[in-house]
This record gives sequence, structure tokens and C-alpha cells, in this order.
Amino acid sequence: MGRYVLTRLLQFLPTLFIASVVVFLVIQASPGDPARIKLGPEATPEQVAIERTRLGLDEPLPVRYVIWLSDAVRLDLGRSFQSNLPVTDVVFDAFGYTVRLALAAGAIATTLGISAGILAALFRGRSLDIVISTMSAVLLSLPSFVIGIVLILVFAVNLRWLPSSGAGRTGQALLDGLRYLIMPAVALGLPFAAVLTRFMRAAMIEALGQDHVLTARAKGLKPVTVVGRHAVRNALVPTITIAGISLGTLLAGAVVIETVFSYPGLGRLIVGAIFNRDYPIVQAGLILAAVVLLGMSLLVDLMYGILDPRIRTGRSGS
Amino acid sequence: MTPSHPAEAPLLDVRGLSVAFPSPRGDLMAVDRVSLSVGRGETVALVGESGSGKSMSALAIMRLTPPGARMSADWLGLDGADMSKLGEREIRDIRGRRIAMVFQNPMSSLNAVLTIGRQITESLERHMGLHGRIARARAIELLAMVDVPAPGKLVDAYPHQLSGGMRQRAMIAMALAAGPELLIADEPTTALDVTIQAQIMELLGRLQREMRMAVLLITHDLGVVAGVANRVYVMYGGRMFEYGQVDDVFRDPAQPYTIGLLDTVRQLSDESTESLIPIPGQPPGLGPVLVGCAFAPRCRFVVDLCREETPPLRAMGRDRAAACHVAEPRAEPA
Amino acid sequence: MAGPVSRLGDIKLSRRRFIAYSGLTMTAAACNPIAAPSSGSPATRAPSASGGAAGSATPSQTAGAVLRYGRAGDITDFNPWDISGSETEVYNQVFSRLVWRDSDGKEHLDLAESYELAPDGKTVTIKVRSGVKWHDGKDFTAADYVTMYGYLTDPAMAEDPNIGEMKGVLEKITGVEAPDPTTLILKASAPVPYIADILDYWHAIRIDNPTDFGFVATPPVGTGPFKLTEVIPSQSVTFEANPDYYVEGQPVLGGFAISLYGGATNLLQNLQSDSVDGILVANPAEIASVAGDDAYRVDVTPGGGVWDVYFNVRKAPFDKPEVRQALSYAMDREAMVKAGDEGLEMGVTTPFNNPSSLGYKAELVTAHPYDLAKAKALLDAAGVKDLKIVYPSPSSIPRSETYGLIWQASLKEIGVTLEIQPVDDARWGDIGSGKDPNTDLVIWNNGRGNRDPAIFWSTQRNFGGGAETIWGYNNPELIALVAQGAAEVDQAKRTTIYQQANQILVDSSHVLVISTRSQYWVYNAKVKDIDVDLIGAIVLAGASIGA
Repeated sequence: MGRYVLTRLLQFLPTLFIASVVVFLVIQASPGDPARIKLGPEATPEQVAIERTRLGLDEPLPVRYVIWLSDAVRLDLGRSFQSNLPVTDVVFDAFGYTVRLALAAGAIATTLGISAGILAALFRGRSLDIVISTMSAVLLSLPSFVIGIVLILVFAVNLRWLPSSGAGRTGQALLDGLRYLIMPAVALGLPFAAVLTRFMRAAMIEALGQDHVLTARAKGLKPVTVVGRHAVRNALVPTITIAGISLGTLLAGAVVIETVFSYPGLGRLIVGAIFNRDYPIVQAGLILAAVVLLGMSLLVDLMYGILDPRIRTGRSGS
Repeated sequence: MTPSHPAEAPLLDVRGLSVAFPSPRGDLMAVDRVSLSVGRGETVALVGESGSGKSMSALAIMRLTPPGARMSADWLGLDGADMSKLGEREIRDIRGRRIAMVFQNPMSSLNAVLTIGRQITESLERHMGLHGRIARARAIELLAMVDVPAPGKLVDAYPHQLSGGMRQRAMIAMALAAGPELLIADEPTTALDVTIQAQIMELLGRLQREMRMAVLLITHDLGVVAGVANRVYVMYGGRMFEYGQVDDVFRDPAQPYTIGLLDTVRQLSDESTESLIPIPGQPPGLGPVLVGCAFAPRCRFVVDLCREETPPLRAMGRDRAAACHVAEPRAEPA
Repeated sequence: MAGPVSRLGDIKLSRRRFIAYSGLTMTAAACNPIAAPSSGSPATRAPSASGGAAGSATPSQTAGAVLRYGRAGDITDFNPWDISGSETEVYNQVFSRLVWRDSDGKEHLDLAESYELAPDGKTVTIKVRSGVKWHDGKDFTAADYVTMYGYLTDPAMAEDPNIGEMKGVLEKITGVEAPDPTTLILKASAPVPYIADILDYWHAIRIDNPTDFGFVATPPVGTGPFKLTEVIPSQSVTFEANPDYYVEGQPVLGGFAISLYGGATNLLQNLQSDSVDGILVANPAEIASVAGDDAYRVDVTPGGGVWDVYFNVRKAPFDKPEVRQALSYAMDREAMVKAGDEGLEMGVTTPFNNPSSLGYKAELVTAHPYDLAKAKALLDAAGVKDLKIVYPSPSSIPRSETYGLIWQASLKEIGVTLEIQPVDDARWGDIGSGKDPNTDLVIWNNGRGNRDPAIFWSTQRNFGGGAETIWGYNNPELIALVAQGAAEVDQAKRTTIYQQANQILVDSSHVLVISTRSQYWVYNAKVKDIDVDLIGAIVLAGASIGA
């Protein structure tokens, strides 16, 4: 198992290298002068030229890339053009917020999606199933930012129960911090929950029809045991696969949601940095996103190993 | 095997069991007013081609018919009590505890994501109140009883790590966990290699004797019935066609369908026969209640009456009956 | 508030909060009249709301309340000397200055008790207030300004953008002396008739560590009404009242907190959900939903900026003044501000549109009324036919497209095609920096129309002529006038000079001014007495929150 993980990790390196070249080229070759953006409209061309030198933008692109890469492999990602803060700090701070958001959204999505999927499958064809299936279809057709805006209007502007944006200030109580997380996490998690509901429902219906469920019933097991032990776990295997594949979508959704809720995560950071042509931040942020996606795919693989012994034991060669 | 004539009330006494699937065309009859009984410690075979309703009858006895099916019975007796009137909770106490079941495909009938041991202990937990290490030890004992090698290791294995024969042994161990009075074995050897089939049948026979339990063996293969079962029931098209002592029925089958089945078996065991001569035609599919004999389209002895009137089961001798307009009562063996 | 004199040790430097707030920050904000002239007339023009003079807490105020303010965009810099300084919400709260000018151009003494410009215009003598303390408790004296000057003129800092703006303002100042703790003398190489603006610019920042000019290790220290206590990048900035502030009864607020909302599209919702008490809105259309709602107050603060169009004068036919004028007459400015700015702005043809400006000339404010016939005639006279113009429109500024569409429709009637080309902001910046020689024109915005014209011309270089402009406009007469105005001590003469320059600017139309550019603040109606300075930056020393 350890060897397998190591091999997979080594396979990431070329992917990351290519990603870094693409990211570097796309951002640095696009129009827009970071020095001009930083100094504002009143700066003279001479001042802008001096700033370009300070930011190291005078070198040709390939040279800049080599410098950046040789620093990056030593984990020195430079400083933000805009704030002059170390990129590593800025990016990881923001990433922490995104992780919090993604975990909360993931928890909401899996809890809601899996339980709704189970219920729909158990009450297949009955009214509960119809209600759940309709709701998931509606949620699937709504972009998450629409859900976000509706949530803001209802719970922040009208009811004033929850803050409409940001992540609060430090020093606040944990509970207060959670209040800032609820709406973005729900907005991000709901469409994902809808996806999972559909997959879980289908997987549960399949699992419930399998022979071993009949065996379990023939043993006289209680329905809750039959469903929980003999259907849900089996249905989770395909559902987790889908969840894993959808993680990329979740991260992409986080970019939008973070912007809607002005949530200080990686998505908002990268979007802002792209607008400001803050190259070091964009590069580090996108590379980190790539690392996360690759890591997630590995994690998903390991996950079904845990859920499905056929994969685990097959691979470890026992 | 000592034939045990049920002097007292049989352990399982099924009367007028029907399973219907309501449909826009009217009820589709999977099982049509079938009666059968199994005495204590007795081995009874229920024989029929696929689609004959034999497996559905077994599920109906367990009250495990699939969703959408409607089951009814005049009497579903277990040790003198009518199970058809029991609530879901009460019937659950019977399943696995008093009546256990072994299914045809040991791969799909075992849960791929749980260890063999876990699938045995959950029965022990449910019915025997055994937990933890005690349950595990008992699971190993049960595995030893079904003659698996290294039961202490197998208990932690997953189904996919076992061969087909081992899986079926594990299934049997699972079924035996709560010491049932009746074991319903639904085609327990069909999915297995021929050599393994014999071993499994032998195992079932031994366990039946040792545990003094009754076995209802469901099979399409009359060949496995001889030497194992005391009595045999033959089903066709959802109806009971013939029953009797295995010896009587094998020696002198009354129903033309049974005759056809036995011919097939004999051809199989006769190695000189080049090709199998099956019964011509196809068994009927699931359909509305038929008028006349379900076998009439394939029957060599068919007469007009067969198509006009459903033949009732008529006594063909001591402890035997057949549903056929043409068949004559059989003489007692000499 | 309260607590002992502030020490740096009190400041929560939560993990690397302070790293790199580049720029030498610190100094002075201020407000309110002290010994001297009148307190602010209502500094704001408010379509739907109150006003009221500053003052100390009254029973209807919540004592020690924290004003929560929401800001779109990050704050990456607290330094008012920075060339890109745009964090105007912050400067006047943390830093004081010697003199400040309110939105009407009126002067208020702040750290200065008085100042006097010598008749030759080259020496300024300032009496500095005594008893003022920096946020860390140290005494503030005139010598601090000498230190600041030394720092600003340090050759090692010559190219540092962190001090670029202040350096430009101090261009003519050749020496600063403090003969005693309350006297400050500024000496200049040439007359500095715009001294009040220099003093207004010069926020007092304490230079503790010249090698740490980016405030990587320590937060900025000022003398203003609020102390910066915590900065969380991309999230929040927190201030608390300075208990040692030198104006009696101020600040009224207990603190000030800014939530940073990135490129927020829903800033107003933060106000509506009571997460903040005030916001600065970029797009006037957003205000519509609170207009007329008594719970909110909208303050529009002009600040002296304008929206305008730079012509590429090097490219025919934009080299012809008739063509540029024709395009100006073809501009229905009234329709533009109505559709693009909800009528909150004014259509103008010059940056000197505030009567307090020396260059102000009433007839130049709207010198080119909408007149298509005249526009057509001018084009014909110039021999221009079938003119096609590309108009780059930045996506983040909705009004640029609105302006463009209205202009496009008008121009179509006189046979001119205006192609609106949407561009992203970075590309827009490139075009505005003259990177593309094929540019026809570009919409832009400029500030400091309220400043002394000497300051305006020295900072808004594309309005001038000659080598300083990137668009190729050359006019020796304008260059001479601008130089003359900066050195003239006689205010009457200066007025004439700048009015002439204004006339040339309007006639040449090499920068076509479209409209005023204000800031739109929306406050919870409970927020009271927020002042605004000449450039539209808020002054919170006297602000309060009602019960």
C-alpha cells in the first residue's frame, strides 16, 4: 500500500510540472502590467518602469520561469506584488479557509445527499421519493451562486440571522465563526448533495435488489440492519467514486461561492490576484489547487479500497 | 436414509399457497394454490424447471416475496401455528432462527464487503445473543462443521477470496448458525462444479442427520434428489404436478411431465447416449391463471380435456398424487 | 477605550499580520477645528439624508460604539505617502496632518497652530501644537517632521514607490528645520504658493526604523484619533480610539473596524443585513435599492475627480482640435450621467468645476453643450468623413459602457462609427498607459481637480502638454502657463493664469472631460457626523453612532 501511494505521488510530478508551465504562461503572457496596476493610474511611465524592474518583470519570460521554478522547488514562492506578503503565507491562509468551507460543504452534501438518496430508494415510487427526486432535480439545475444569493437575501438581508459575507474577525467565539460558514457551505454543498442523492438512490436501489440483501433478510435481520449493513455500505462504493470525481467541481464551485460571499478562501484570492495580475499569488494558488485535486484523486482511490475489500486486497496482493 | 412417515403434524404444512403479481392484464400467477409439507427431520425435494414457481414458493414460505407480489395461503403451518397471520416482527424471529435458507449463487448471496465471520456472527447476535469473541469462536466452530480448511483464518476472509465451494459451505454455516428446524436450500449446487456439487450434497445430508433438521431441497435437477430426499414434489407452471415418496415417483412417475424429467436424468447418467433429448417446447412464462393443464402444449399424452379443464391433484397411491387427466393410479410396489 | 498610553506591545500582531504593509505609514489625520477657524460646514452633499455638525457625545449617542465599515477590495497598504495610496478610509483616522482642507476647500489647522508663507513664497514658518503624543506614547514635536523629511529625501529611497507621492508633493522643498519643538520651518527652491495643499498632504508618520520602511516588523504609528490594532489580510482591519488624542471629546467612537470583502458584488447586502454600518459603493446603480429608505443615508462626496477620455493625439484625425471638439459637442453629457450615474454626477467639460478652485471659470464647466449640428460642422471643416473610432470599455466600470452607448448613438447621427470594445481591467490599464499605439481614445479618470492647480498639473500629467504626456499633445503656451502658475505668489495673478490654462484645456480637448467622479457612501442612518476632506476621504474623529 505504501509503495502504491509513493508511486502515485511520483506520477504527480510531471503533471505538476506541466501545470506550472501552463499556469505561468497563461497568466504572465496575458495583457495587463502588474506594475501599472500596483502603482495606479497616476504613476508616470518612469515610475512604472522602475517598479517593473523591482518586481523582476524585465527578464524574458523563460528566464522568469526558471527563476520562479528554482525558487519554488525550495518552497520559496516569492512575495505578493500587491501586498508584499510572503506568498506561502497568503496562499496557505486562504487555503485553510477553503478547506474549512469545502469540509463543511462536503459534510452537508454527503449527509444530506446520502440520507436523502437512501430514503428515496427505500420509498421508491412513493411520495417521499418523488419529493426528494424533484428537489434534487431543481437543485441540480440551480447554479450555486443563485442559491447563494437567495440565501443572502433571505437569511441575511431579510431575517438578519446570518452575516452575508466575509469570515468574521479573529478573536470571535467559535460559534460566531461558524455563522459565517453556514451560508457559503450550504450554497456550495446543496447542488453537490443533489448529485449525491441521485447517485445514492440509484446505487441503493441496485444494492437493495442484490442477492445478499435477500440473504440478510432471510437471516431475520432487522430492516435497519439489512439497510445499514448490507445495502448502504455497498451503495457507498459507487457513490464515493462519484463524490471523488465531483470534488473538482466542488473546488471550482468554491471559487464562485467565495466570491459571492466574499469568503477569504483560495478561490477569492486567486480571482482577485488574476485581476491584479499578481503573478506570484496566481501561480502558487493554481499549483496548490492542482496538488489538491491530484491528492484528492489518490484519496478517493484509497477510500474505495477501504469500502470495497475486493479492491484493497486485490491491490495489496495480501 | 430412514423414511420417516409423518405420524404427527408435519413441521411445515403449506396449504393453498399462491403468489400473484397484480398487473393491468390481471393477476399473473407465479404460484397457484400449492400445498406441501415437510416432516421433522425429513428431507423433501421440490423439483421444477426455472420459472416453475419453486423458488417463489420457498420465498413465500419465508414471507420474503419481492415487493409487488401478493401472497396468500389457506394455512402456512410451522409446527402447528399459522405463519401467514404473523406480524413482520414475529416472522423475523422465525427467519434464520427456525427456518434458514441457503441460496443458489454463493458469490452474490454473500455480502462482498463483509467478512465471512461477520456475516455469521450477525446471525448469532440476532438470534443467539452471542457477541464479540464468543460469537467469533462460535462462527469458527460453525465453519469447522461445514468442513472448510483453516476456519480460524477463513473467518476473517472476504467472499471474493474463497472458491465457489468454500463460499457455499460458508453460506451453509451461516444458515446453521441459529440451529434451525428447517433448512430451505434453493438450488444449493447449481452454480458449482460437478465434483463440488456432490460434496455439498453430502455435507447437507450429514448436517441434516447430525442436527436433526428438516431440509426442503429446491432443485431443477431430479438427479440430485435420488438418495437424498425422502419425498419429492414436482412443480410446473406455478402448480403442483405430482408428489410422492422419491422411490415411488422415480420408479413409476405418474405425470407425463415427471416422466419427461426422469427421461432426461436417465439420459444424462447413461454415458452411451450421445445427445440429450429434452422435453420439446418451452415451459410457460408468468401469466394469468390458465384454463387447462399448463403442460398440455408439450405433452405427448395430451387429450382435449387437458386444454379445457385444469386437472386437480388426484391420489395415485399411498402418499402420492398427480395432477393429470390421463394418469392412472399406480400400483403399490411389490 | 482607555488603558494606558498605547504601546506596540498592546497591538495584537496575530501571526504575521503585519508583515509587509509596505510603505512608511503613519501620521496624521485630523480634523476638527481647534483654536482656529470654523468647524466643518456639512462636508457632504447628501441626496437623502442628514448632515449635522461634529461634536462630542450627546445623550442620543452610543458611547464607545464601534463603527463597522465594509470595503470592497483588499487593503494592502496603510501608507498615505504611497504613490498608489487609495486606502482613503484609513489615512485620516490613524494619521494627523499639519493643516487639512475640507470638501469645500476650507482650511482647518490640525497639528499646526498657525502657518505663514514669507512674501517671496519660499519660506514657511509653522507653529506646531504642543502636548501631542504618538500612538505609542512618545511625544510628538516639530523635530519629527525633520526626521520625516530626511527620510523622504534619502537617496536610498529615491525610487521607492512607497514614498513616491509625498516626494512629488515636496519637490520644491529643499530643507526642513525645527529650531524648537514647536517651530517648523520649510524652505523651498522656488515659491510654493500652494503651501496649504503641501501641509494637507503631509500626514505625520513616525519613522522608527528606516530599514523597515515596509512595516514588515511593526505597524504604523500616527497621532490620529484611532490606533491601528489588528490587520488580517483580506479579512479585516481594526482600530481603537486613541485615548490621548489631542482634540477634547474626540474621537466619539470607541473604535473603527473595516471588513474586507474582496471584489464584493454584494456589499450593500452587508449593510442591509446589519453586518456593517457603512460602505463605499462603486456603482451608483446599487444605491437604488436603499434610496428613499429612512434606515439608510447616502452621502455623495465629489472629491474633485472626473471621468474623461484621452485622445491619442498622435493619430489622425485626433491630432486636429476641431475633430476633438466635434466629438465633445457630440457628447450628450446630461443623458450620460442620468443613465450611467443615476443622476448623481454632473456633466462637465473641465476638472476645475468646483468654485473653490483657482482655475474655476463658470462658463468652462459646461463649455460644450450637446450640439450635433455644431459637431457635424466641425468635422466637415476638418474634412473628416466616415470616421471610425474604437472605444475600449473596461468590464468593471459599468458607466463606461453606458457612456459609450449614448455617445455611439449620437455619433451615428453625424456619420461617425463608435465601436465599443469590451476589455478586462488589466488590458484597460495597458491601453491607458499608452502601450498600444493604435489606440484611438480611452476612457480614464483623474483626480485632484479640487487641489491647487499646481498640484493638479504636476500629478495629472496627461492634461498638460509636451514630453510629459503619453498621448503626444504639445502646447508650449500651456506648458509655460503651468510653470508660471506654480511659481507665482500673487493669488490674483495665479487665478488669471489658471483660468487661461483651463480655457486652453477645454478648447484643445486633448483630454475630453465627461463628468464629475464622486464617491458614494451608504450609511446606517444611525451613523452621524462623518466629515469628508478635500479629496473625499472620510474623517471619523467626530463621527458617532446614534442609539
